[in-house]
Amino acid sequence: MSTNQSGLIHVLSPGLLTTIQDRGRAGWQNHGVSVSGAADLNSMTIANALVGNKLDAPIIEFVMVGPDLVFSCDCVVAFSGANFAFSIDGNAIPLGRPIWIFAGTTVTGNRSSNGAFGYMAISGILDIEAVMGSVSTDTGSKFGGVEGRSLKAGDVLVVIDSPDKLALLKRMSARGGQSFIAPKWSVKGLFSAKGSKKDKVLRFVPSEKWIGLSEEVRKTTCLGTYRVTPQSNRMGVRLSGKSIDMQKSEHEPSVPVVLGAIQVPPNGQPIILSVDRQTIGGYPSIGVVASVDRTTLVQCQPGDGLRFVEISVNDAQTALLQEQNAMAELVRSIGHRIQELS
Amino acid sequence: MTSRFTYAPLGDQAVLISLESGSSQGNELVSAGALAEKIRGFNLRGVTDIVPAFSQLAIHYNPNEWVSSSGQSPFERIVEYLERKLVSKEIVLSAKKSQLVRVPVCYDKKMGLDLVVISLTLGISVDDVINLHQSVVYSVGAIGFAPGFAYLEGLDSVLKIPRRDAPRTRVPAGSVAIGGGYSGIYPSTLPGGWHILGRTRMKLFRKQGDCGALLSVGDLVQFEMISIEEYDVNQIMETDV
Repeated sequence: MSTNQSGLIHVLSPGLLTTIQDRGRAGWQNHGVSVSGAADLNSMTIANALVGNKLDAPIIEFVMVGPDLVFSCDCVVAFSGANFAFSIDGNAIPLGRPIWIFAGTTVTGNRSSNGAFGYMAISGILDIEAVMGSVSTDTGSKFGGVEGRSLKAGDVLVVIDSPDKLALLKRMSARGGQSFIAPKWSVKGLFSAKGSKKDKVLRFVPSEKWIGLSEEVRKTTCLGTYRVTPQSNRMGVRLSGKSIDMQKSEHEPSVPVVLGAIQVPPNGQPIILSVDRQTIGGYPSIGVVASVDRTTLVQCQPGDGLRFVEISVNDAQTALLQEQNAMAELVRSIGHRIQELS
Repeated sequence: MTSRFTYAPLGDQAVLISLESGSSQGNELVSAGALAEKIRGFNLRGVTDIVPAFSQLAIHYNPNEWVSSSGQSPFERIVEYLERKLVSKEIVLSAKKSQLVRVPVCYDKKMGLDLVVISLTLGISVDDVINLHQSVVYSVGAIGFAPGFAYLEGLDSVLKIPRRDAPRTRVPAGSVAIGGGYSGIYPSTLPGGWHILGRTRMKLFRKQGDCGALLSVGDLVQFEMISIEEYDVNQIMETDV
């Protein structure tokens, strides 16, 4: 065991589906193992950067309803992703900044107002055993996280102190009479569900099957609005809308699949594969959602409207590289900001 | 060299390679499993997963590692690289010998929950069902659905029957089953719609020690009938280890 100081986080109430995640379990798909990992990777990266952690350090992910947690030690945390209106003693905790939480404090989660997935990074190291190179919770296969399941009331998480955490605490000067301490600045404009009344656009790289469909089918598919159904989960985002006729001949064997693959089962209602997707799939696919639209995809809430727009693989990759550069720039500037805290 | 592969984008972070039917090199039929092994040997940068399934395989890559200054996209660049590597003459796809895995199966009716139903459906005896199932050597066409679950090709055509109307919510771990024209072994207790013929104590997947799946695509599998007494002995051996 480590000789470092450690603190505890007690789960008072678990929310809807609160799990430990990291970047995911890549490298094991040929064994039939799902990749899993944080659904909204950008939000995970930002939260970890805000507390001075490694960008892919284990993080707590919550879905639709946030957990209530009790901290047994002083911790620096950061919230990102959808807004779950976390509060301490009724005081709202702002998103996108490092927050000093005092020992003995209860943090209360709420229903998310603008997206599906939220994240809390904790400065230090969440003490979770890696399985096949990742701590990500795969609830389907019961791997990783806490016993391969979502958190439940009574669970206790151990956080091991890191030098970065201690340095952060030193810089964030304590003042009396507050529920928590936060700087005045915050990271802005990353994930925000802009006017949920409007349809969101998912760009997709078409498959051979899509190119083989009649122009009429392709046209009606791209003109239609697809609504996210409540059956959506970490395995897939299920849609309802104009039925897509795949002009399917006979049974075809399963094919390798990826996150964002837009599968069309016989009923013509698309299912877009998400983070806990399997490694191969039997339904024909019209294409794959561009990686730059991953956040838009996973943060959809039931009832949201989506539209499909074609994008070439070259344009999708150009956009992805731009986004990766922008993220690297943001992470650097967060790094500077937290060095200058006082 | 008559290997014919086609390359297509599977989104912006994977390439899908399809083997045209009867892809061959020299006299060797090229399988997706052998091709995956070959490509794994290239140690391509930024590649996290190589996933074969039947006549296709996906290469998951990080586009950032395949940026070029010549205006080529990462997709174009990795495909060009693969095309070049995969036509060169030194590649011998049959280099890796398929391993033959013998799987002891207890076909007792206590474990072969659907043996009787299938024998009635097909109008053949339970013994015939068992013989048809264990008289062939299967090859692993794909791994998926669940960790370590292998789709075994080679099922006798008599046994190619539709799945159960109502899937079971819990198929016991180790169940040996048929469905969708394949045979398969449930590595853990899972929901499933295949017909269960027997059970094995063989471990198809181990997360301990990061072992992963026992079988890989391209491996050969032969089922060997054991009695219920031998099956019980296997259990004692399992727990002793």
